[in-house]
Parts: sequence; structure tokens; C-alpha cells
Amino acid sequence: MSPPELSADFPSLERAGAVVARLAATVDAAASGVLTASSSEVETALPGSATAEAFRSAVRAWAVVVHCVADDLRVIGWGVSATRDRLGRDDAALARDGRL
Amino acid sequence: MADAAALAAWVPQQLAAVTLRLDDGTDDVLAARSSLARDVGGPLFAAADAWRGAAARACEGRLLAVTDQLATVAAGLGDLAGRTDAAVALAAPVEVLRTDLAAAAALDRAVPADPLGVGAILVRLATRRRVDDDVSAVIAADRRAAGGFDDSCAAAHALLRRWNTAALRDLLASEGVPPGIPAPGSEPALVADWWASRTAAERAQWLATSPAVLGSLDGLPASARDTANRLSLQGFLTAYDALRRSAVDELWRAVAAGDLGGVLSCRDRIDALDRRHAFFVSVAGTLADYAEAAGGDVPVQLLLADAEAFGDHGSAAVAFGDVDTAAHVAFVVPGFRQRVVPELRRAASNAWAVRQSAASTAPAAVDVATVAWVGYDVPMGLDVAFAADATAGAGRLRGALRGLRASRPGRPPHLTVIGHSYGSTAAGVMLRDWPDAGVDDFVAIGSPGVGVASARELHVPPGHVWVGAASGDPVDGLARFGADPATEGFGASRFDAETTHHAGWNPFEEHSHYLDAGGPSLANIAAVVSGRPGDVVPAPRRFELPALPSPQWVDPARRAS
Repeated sequence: MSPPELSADFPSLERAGAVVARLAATVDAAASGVLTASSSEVETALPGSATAEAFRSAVRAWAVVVHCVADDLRVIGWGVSATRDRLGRDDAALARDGRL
Repeated sequence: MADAAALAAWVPQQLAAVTLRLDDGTDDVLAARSSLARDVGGPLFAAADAWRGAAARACEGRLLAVTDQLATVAAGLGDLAGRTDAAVALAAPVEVLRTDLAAAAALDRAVPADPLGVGAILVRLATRRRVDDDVSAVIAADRRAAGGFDDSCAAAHALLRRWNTAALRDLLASEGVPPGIPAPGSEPALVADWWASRTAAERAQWLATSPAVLGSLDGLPASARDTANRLSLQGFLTAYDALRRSAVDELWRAVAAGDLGGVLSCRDRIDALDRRHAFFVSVAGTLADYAEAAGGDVPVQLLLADAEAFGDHGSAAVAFGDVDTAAHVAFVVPGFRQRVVPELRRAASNAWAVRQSAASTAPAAVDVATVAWVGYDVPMGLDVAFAADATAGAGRLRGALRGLRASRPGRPPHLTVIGHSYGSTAAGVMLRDWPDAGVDDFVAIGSPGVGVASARELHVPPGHVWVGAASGDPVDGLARFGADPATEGFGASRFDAETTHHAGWNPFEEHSHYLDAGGPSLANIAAVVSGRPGDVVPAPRRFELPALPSPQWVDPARRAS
């Protein structure tokens, strides 16, 4: 463990992990909203049209794109949380040894 | 014809609510992006007591990447919202249809003063015709709107190709796209997505087991097609001797048994093998010639090598330069009698000349790839006087160009199509019939007509239809297929294409020298191909055809006077 790594502020990391997790959920919800609502509305407005069919495919594709980005965010959130836990443990050990 | 009443029931105005919903989604994504920078990136990495070290750097890199991704997603959703808003325009033709349909119904309900009179019948007919026209207008508007959403869908697929191919694969599977090789003739964008969503191991397996299918599949990257076609070529040439020996042995057994049917069948098989052998020998020889000429500096790609096309006459396409990455790509479409056997070398030499000239005459190095495209059934006899081969070839050329665009999503090259002689007719028909071809420049040389009366009908940006017509070439003034493209009224940009080859006894001599090294025609075509239209030397007027059989070359320097 290099000394600069220990400069982390635990509350900051904790807050950051929580914010990232919340943002992942927000982005995912936006995707779900678009997916579930828009396609059916277009189908209702233009039943049987080429537009409705193409719109459905486009919305599904964008929803998957958004899900992928939300997944990336979740991974980052987990990484921040895991780092916070690891630093916490390491710091506790270092403190016991009298080095912190 | 679609059901007019069903179309009239559409309510495109409701799309406005969908636009708002998509706008809200866009705002949510943008808000998340801002929050990521403000509430996460700032406190963690910009504060005085910032998190530092290897883990911090890795986290910051991931955060920056996902911040960019959120911006891209927001732009995509915003674009989708814009297209949805534009689709509200469908309301206008639907309203016209509704009005005319109501008028027609009112007429049907009314009892005319003279039910059997000609006047009443004519009014009803005119109303019906108006309704039919209205239906066509609604369907056209529907297709336009759908095309916009198709583009949006393709943009999303392109992102998934870069970010998460596993997700793309799942998406395609959920859309009903089969996991195996798409059928020949499949939508090129679909083919491109299918290929992008395969793992490297799967691609290698498909290439090893199905090279003949992959080699002709529009939408695959040029590098993959090159690998597939070379595998097919090597596979056939390696197996040819054994296959032929086996067929000959069988032939003799049929002779010994007095089996006439067997003899004829074996003879046909041997003939077919020999034709395919001649095809692949021609292709292999051409590849070897140009591999040597290129000396490793210019990639040579075999984009098409279908020995069985057109009754075993075959179709082939050889590229010089990397078609997957080149900034400028030009397809050279040959004309009369230029089949793969024995003329592939000639078609290749023309494409090579254009590539070398385009890459070498520019002020700076230019990334150019040219394709000798012998992908249609070129006329070999009297069929040259008719448009059937050109019309069939136009469809194939369109497939090749759409395949190129699909294989390069988000980074299309500057695309030029050069048609020589009857090849210009095939290319012209393609441009006329498919406005979505995406061609930036069209060059017709030695053209007997490109299937239209005016350059405007070719759906190429204004000023980007070019014509090379040597004054001693008897073909380019024929106007056999539409108007003569070298005339003033046609509206193309005519460039200097005189040759130094004087027709002696052969009046067609000047028809075949447009791409000779050192000539003005090649230099002008190279300027077009490499995106330097300002360097093209114009030919201001059409010359009268000299009297045959001794046409005289007109010095371009004297023409201006």
C-alpha cells in the first residue's frame, strides 16, 4: 500500500459510492420509462405503420445502450465501495501497528 | 393497396407526447452526467484532500469514460426525440386523406340527379383517384419517418458494437436475428451487426467452415471478405486436380458401362470444374500481379470471388488500398466484354491506375482505395444494346455500396463510382433508381448514356456528376440509354478526357484509353476520387465527332481558343 492511497477520505468515498449507485438506478429508470411507454404510444397513434415498427426497434436498441451505461456505473459504484472497505481494513491494521 | 380507412385513422399528433417523454429521458441522462461530475468526480478527485493512487487513477478513468458515454446517449436520445417530432408531419397527408375519403363517402351516399350519367361517374372516378394518391402520399411519408428511426437504431447498434458486443448479440437474438450466418442478400446493416456481435473464435470458425458464403456477404468488413475469398480460392485450386481426376475416372467408367446419361453428366461436371478453374486462375494471377506491383505498400483485397455466378462466368472484385479504413473509396465498373475470364487483369489495371494516380498526384498523401468491381453480368454480344444487364447490375452494385456503408458505421468514406462504357449505364441506373446509394461523386467515361435525361435524376450532389468523353470516341455520343451525358443540356461537369491514341483503322480505339497513365482523363478522375474537384480540368463544350475512319485528336490546349 503506497502512502498516497491512504489519503482517501472515507466519508467522501462512501458518499461517492452511494451517489454512483443512485445515478445508475436513475439512468436505468429513464431507459425503462422510454422503453415501456413510448413504443406503445406510437403503436396506438400509428397502428400497423412502418414508423411504429422502426420506432420500436430504435427504442429497444437505445434502451439496451442505456442499460449498458447504467451497468458500467454500477460497476464503478461497487469498485468505489470495495475500495472504501479495503482502505478501512488496511487503515485499521496500520493504526494497530502504530503507523497511522 | 393499403386500407385507406385504416391509414385515415392514424393520429400522428399523438407523437408529440412521445417526443416530450423522450426529452424527459434525455434530461434525466444529462442530469445524471452532471451529478456524476459534480457529486462524484469533484469531491473525489478535485478536492484538496483528493483520493490519490493507482486505484484512484483507475476509478477516475472509468468515470470519465462513462461521463462521455452518458453524453453520447443523451445526444442519441435527443436525436430520437427530434425524429419523433419530425414524424408528426405525417399528420398533413393523413388529414388530406381523411378529407378526401369523407368526400368520397359523401358522394357514395348522395343520390345524383342522373345516376347513370357520365358526369357523375367521372366525379366518382376523380375522387377515387385522389384517394389513391393520398394513400400513396401517406405511405411515402410513413416510410420516410421509418427510415429516420432505422438510422437512429443503426446508431445505437454502432455504439453497442464499440461498448458491449454481448449486449448487441442479445438484442439481435431478441429481435429474431438467427445466430448463424445471415442468408445471402440479407440487409447489409444486419450482416454488419451479426459479424460485430461474434467473438473472435466464432468468426474464425465461420471463416474456416463457410468461406464461400461469407465472401459474398454484403455488410461484412473488407478484411473478413478478403480472408474468406482467399480461403475459397486456395481451397478450390488445391482440390481441383483431385476433383477433375475423379470426374474423369467416373467418365471412363460410364463409357465402359455404356451409360450415356452418366457420360453426359460427367462431361458437364468436368466442364464446370474447368470453368471454375479458369476463373480462380484468373483471380489468383491478378492478385499475384498486383501483390508484386504493390510491394507490400498497398493492401490488395479480394472482396468478391464467386465462381458460380452468371452461369459459371463468375463475379469478382479486387481492391487496392484498405477499403475498411480509406478516406476515399472508388468503385470502377467495367463495360462490354470485360468478364472475369479473361479480363479481370484489365479491370484491375484500371482500378490500380486510378488508385496510384489519386494517391500520388495529391499535394499530400491521400488514403485512397479503389475497387475493380466485376460484380455484374457484363454484356458479351448484342445484349449490349439493351438495358437488361445494366438494370440487373444496378441492383448488385447497390448491394455492394450499401455493404460498404454498413461495414463502416459512423465513418463512411468519400465514395466515387466510375463507370466505363456500359458500366456507366449500370451505375447510372443504380443512382437513378436508389436515391439512398450514398454516392458522393459519379464519373461516366465513354458512356453510351446513363439511363436519364439529366444529371439531376442521379441523386448525386449538384456539380458532382462528371463526364469524360474523348472527341474521337464513337460510343460516348450514342445516347443509347437516355441523353448524351456530355452535352450542355444534361448538366454534368465535363472534364478533359482527350487521348493520344489516334484511331487509325479502328474507330473504337479511343474508347479504351480513358485510364491510361499520363493522360488528362486519368488525372481528372484521380482528382475527383481524392476529393479535389477544384483540380479537375474542364472541357467546356462537346466536340463534333470527326468523320470516320480517321478521327483526329484535338489538342486540349487549342480548344479554349
